[in-house]
Amino acid sequence: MLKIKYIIIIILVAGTFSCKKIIDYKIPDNGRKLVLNSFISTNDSINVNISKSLHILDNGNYELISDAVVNLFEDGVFIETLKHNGYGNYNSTLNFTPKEGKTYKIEAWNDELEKVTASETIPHKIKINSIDTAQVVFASTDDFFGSDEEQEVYEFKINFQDNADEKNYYMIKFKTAYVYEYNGDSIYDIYDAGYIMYNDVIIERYLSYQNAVIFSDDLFDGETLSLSLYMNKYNFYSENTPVIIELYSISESYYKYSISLDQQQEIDGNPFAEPVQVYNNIEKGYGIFAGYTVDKDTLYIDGVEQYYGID
Amino acid sequence: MKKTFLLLILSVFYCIVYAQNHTISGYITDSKSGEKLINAAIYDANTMQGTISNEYGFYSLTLSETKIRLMISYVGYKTIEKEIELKENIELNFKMSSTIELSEVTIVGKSNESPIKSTQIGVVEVPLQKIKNLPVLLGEKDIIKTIQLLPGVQSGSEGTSGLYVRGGGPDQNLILLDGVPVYNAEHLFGFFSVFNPDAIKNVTLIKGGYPARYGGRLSSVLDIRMKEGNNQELGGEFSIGLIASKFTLEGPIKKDKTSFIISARRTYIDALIMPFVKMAAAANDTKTSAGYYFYDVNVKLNHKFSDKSHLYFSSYLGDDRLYVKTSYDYLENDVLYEDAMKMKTGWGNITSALRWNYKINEKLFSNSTLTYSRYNFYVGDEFAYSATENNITTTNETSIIYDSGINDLGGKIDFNYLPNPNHYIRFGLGNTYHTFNPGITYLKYMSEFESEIGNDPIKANEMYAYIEDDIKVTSQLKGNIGTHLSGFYVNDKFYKSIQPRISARYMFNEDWAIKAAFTKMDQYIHLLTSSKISMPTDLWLPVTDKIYPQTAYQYAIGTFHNIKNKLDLSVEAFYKTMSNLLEYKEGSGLFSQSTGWEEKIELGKGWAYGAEVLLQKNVGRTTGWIGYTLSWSQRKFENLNFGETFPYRYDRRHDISIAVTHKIDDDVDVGIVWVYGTGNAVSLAVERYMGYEYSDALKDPYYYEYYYNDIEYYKARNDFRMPAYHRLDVGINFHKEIRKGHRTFSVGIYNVYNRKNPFFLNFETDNYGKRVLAQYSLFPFIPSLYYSLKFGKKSEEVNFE
Repeated sequence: MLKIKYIIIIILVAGTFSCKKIIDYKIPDNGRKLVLNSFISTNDSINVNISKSLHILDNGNYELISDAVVNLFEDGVFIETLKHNGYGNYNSTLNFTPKEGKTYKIEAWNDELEKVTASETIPHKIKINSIDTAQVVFASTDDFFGSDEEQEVYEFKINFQDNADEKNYYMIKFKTAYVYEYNGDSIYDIYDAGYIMYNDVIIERYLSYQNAVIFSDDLFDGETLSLSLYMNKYNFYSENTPVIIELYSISESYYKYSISLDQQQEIDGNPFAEPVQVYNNIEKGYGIFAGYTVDKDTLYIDGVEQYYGID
Repeated sequence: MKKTFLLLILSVFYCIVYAQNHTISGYITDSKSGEKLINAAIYDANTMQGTISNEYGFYSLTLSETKIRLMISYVGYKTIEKEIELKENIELNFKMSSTIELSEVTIVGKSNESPIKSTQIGVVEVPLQKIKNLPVLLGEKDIIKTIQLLPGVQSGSEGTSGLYVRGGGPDQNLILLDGVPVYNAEHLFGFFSVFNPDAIKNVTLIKGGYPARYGGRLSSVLDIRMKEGNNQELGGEFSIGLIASKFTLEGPIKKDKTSFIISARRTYIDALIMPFVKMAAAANDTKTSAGYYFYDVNVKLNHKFSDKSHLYFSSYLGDDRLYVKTSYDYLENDVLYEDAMKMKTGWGNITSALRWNYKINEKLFSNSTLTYSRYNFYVGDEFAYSATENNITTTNETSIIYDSGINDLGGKIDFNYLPNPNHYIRFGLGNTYHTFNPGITYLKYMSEFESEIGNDPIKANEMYAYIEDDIKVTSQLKGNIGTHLSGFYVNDKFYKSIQPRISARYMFNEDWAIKAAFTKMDQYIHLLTSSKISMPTDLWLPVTDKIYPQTAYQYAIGTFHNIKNKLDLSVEAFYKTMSNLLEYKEGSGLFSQSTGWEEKIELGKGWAYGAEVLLQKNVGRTTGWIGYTLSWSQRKFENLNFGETFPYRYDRRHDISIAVTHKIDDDVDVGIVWVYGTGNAVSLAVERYMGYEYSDALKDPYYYEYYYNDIEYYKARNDFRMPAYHRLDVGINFHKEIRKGHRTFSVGIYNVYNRKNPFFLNFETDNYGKRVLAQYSLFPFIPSLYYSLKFGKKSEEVNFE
């Protein structure tokens, strides 16, 4: 369906467009704002990126801010002032790692830009109970112009228990590793495993730019879920390929931000779609301050030897 | 409500008891074609008591006097005057001869039921002659485009034929073709409407003060009646335009008894571009054909069993088709391989009505109808790969078909009861069985594999009953009181509603009346649209247990003047509230409408208010109208725009249209259209900033410096306005009598001063790397030619007194 609509739009546009004209249109300018982007989890020490917004008609590049004051608080208690580490990135000097269930607050400003604040609670980690795999044959239906053949796919049945006491949001990613020898060492190059197929209605959205499925516990609150996800065999290059499955437990902000950002990206360039406002939890500024925890599991499966690629 | 009912029932009884008078009844027809005339005025000139003919030309007038000076008048026809001695019930059929707007002297009588006299407010009868004489895009005469020129009605995007009536959406219009709802009235994304004016007899638009007999949509009723076919002699019309040709043939099968009309039209864009497609394909070593066309066919048959009994069958069939066929072959190792692909996309409507008119007695007229309506959209793909070796061919074939639409089967019965000149009672009931198909994909791989994926069809029953009475209280005060009851049964859920409809008129004198109306409307079906332009993939879906029916209340008030028998001036004000309107959640539904759609939409409120001025001139050499609308239309959704009120996309503060034709002499007339509208509301970003999709992106300095997302910040929905829209169209029609008929040659220019009207705005980077806001426009200065030939009836229409 996807492509049909595009084709229709293209024919319409190509067939009838006669002209384009640059118009002098006043877009109000209320000054610039500080942009704060940070994803915090229990696995990593804290990292905050600070930049400056641009007026929609500004020609310049984004400015990464190196002279901001960035303060971190845990449950209302001041922890430290983060240190600039190049490229607008601010890190902990104490190697501070956030903890599950705690609420963090960040404030940031510099001489030019107004102070922004944001707070976020790290969600509880949800453990993967088990993953079962099976090989199945699929008739491809996801796309009219896509594959016309049956596909051999792997089914991954991911079992985990949702937390009944709270509203939970999830994201699942598949990664694989390409292993090669270099100077006698085995090097693991980890990357996204590719397109995830699914037919379960609990999946809210497939985030195309990061190959992840995202969903909430709306339909299985407090239950144990066995979620089936599928990957084409051709995504794995050899026998005994490692597959790393990551179950993210994400905050509501993370969830809203990911979906709205993906939606804004998807309609980018389509003038007939209603624009999407991207979720923003930075007070007096823009950006995202999002918390998550991850549980990983690695299994090994037999992929398909490729003709091209690795030698 | 109960009181209204009681009042109605009492008044019916009262009339029956009191009816010790005599009745004149019959049909009013055109003398040359035998077409029934709708809304012709029939009155006794002595007492000024009268009535109008109904949709089937039937009238009934019960009077107590015996000496009657009966007058029958109808716009564009010579008024008939007849002295009658009324001592018993009599049947009188009148044949009126047309004069067609020639000179000022010809039209003496007042127009049919002049806007001043009727109780209805917000009703416009669209003059068909105007549709034929006014200039339009590419010369393709279009009913809906002409209706867009009326105050209170707005067009959506440039060139499209969606109707936005009094702040409502394009899905809130009940478009009836011979009483059958048409679900998608658009060809080619709405640039053309599906109605072929050659087959149409009468068009009425109701934008407020809906009579109780209509229901099911919130914002307007567009009642289109097809011609019945000339029952006197064979005639027809043939025309060639820039993009389409059409013909109409009508005539008696048995004179005075049975007649037919068939009208068909087809575009030929595909035929014109075919050589270019072939050339382009040949350059790539493939065989390709591709194209787009639409066609439509209107057929109507009618048979008169007697003066009491008529049978009609009418049908419309129209389709849009888009197709691509390519094939490519090559030889490799003595094997001939051939890859072929066929893609077809199409959408279209079929509507049919079988109708039986039966005059039960002089005062009671019945009309029973069976209706069928279908809208369907499909995409089909076929792939075939074959390999031929030693004359043995093996083939692999796959096909995928996607299908969605709506199917309606209905039956209804309507009665008109005219006990005396003070009452015109209509009542009836009906049921429609809907089958909604939200989209099914069929897959087939050779003969080995077949499957069906998608939502199951949803079946629903929509039923209604109504009663209304047009009551003359005094010669000044007249009212239309009625109620429409409706119910909708879907998935074990039953919704019902009682919709009061009241309108009243008070006449100060022959030239001045004021009117007011209050109506409630309910709508049980929703149109899911995911884009700002209308798409054939837009889906009609019913209410469910989570999605409630839409409801609208409208209050309207107006003043109507007749100025020196030449001009009609009306000023109307309205206030309308709408609830349970539907919008997609932000970002959802763009390309995945059919699954879990209930989760993807938001229900909200809307309201619209404004004033409309219409100055109309129907007599003389120069005729036409000037319309002006001042209006506001707003929406409020809990989860859109942070719960704040925002302007509707087609909230248009000022809307002006001028549509005028002028007859230079008998052979030449000119038409001028000028429209002006405040720019459409649009959401524009005001700032942009760096964003990242996920944590890993921030870990790698290389990554975050280069692979960030550009996030655009929107302050509020629809908080900007596009530049204003305005356009002038001019056309000249040259008429000539030729040996066997009448020919018209038209030259038209669309957008005379080449105004670049905004279609959409887009931020982009110009050639010098500067960020700019670009405006895209659709139609520049476009000339058109049109030739039509009317044969058969030697044009007696041009007939001087």
